[in-house]
Amino acid sequence: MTIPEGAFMSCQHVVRQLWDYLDNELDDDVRRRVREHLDICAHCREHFTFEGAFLRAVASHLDDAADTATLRARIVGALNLEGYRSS
Amino acid sequence: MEPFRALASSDRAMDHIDVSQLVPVADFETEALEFLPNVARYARLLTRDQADADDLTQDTFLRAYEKWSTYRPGTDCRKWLFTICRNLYLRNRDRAKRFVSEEDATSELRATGELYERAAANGLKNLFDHIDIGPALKRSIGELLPEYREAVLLVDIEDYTYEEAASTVGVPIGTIRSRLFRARRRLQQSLLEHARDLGFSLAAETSSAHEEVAS
Repeated sequence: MTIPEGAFMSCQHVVRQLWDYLDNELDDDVRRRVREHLDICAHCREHFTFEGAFLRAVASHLDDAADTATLRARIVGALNLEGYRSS
Repeated sequence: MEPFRALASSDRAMDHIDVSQLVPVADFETEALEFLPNVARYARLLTRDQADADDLTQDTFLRAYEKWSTYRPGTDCRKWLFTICRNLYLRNRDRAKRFVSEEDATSELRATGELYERAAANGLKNLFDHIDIGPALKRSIGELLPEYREAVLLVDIEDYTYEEAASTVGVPIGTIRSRLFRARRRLQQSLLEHARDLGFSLAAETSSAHEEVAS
């Protein structure tokens, strides 16, 4: 994508950087220019806030790590049969 | 009464519709939209995925509307629609096989932007802050195709960079990006539909959402 060097980014350009921005995938210069746009454009800022909340919801609701206690016991049991001894 | 009407004002494919080809709604509605259930069933059969089928059905009718002037009244409209549907399906499939272009990621971003506009218009700006979307979110992610689910798992839950996720899966970064963007768009679409089905209190949402003022 070509964005004129130093120019103020349009809403259209900024929205194309949405996920890259929220995922920390942008290089410093582009990131700074997105930030500058968000500082003065309430519409895009609210949009990015909405998408940020979505990413947090995905991360918090889909984290199933707590469900593995039973599985861990089963695996350790199987390891024990193979001679494994937990310290 | 408006004589002409766009099919879906929020759809991205609308960009390509030539206004000069707009036709009276009545004809299209009675001749073509009549077969929506048939096309939806056919699309489901081809794609074997509900969300893909919905997209394909929508694209089929948008394309049919665009090409409506080439349809000859009195001929088999269902067959004409099936042909469009099938061609779109094959083209999408071939394209997906060959490469996943930057264009796909861009069109997903556009669709995501449209979803946001719709959510905002319905007073659902705070939708994702609600604790009770958890079950709907889990269900929606279960409905994604495995490769989309994988992209979400690696990037959104394991915090992988696009590059790390791409090398884990063994695909180019562009592929991970478009899979991820698509998966997110799908999840948001499901959540918005879920909110609508619950009859989410739009008024309450709107009154609690404070407007930010541009400086």
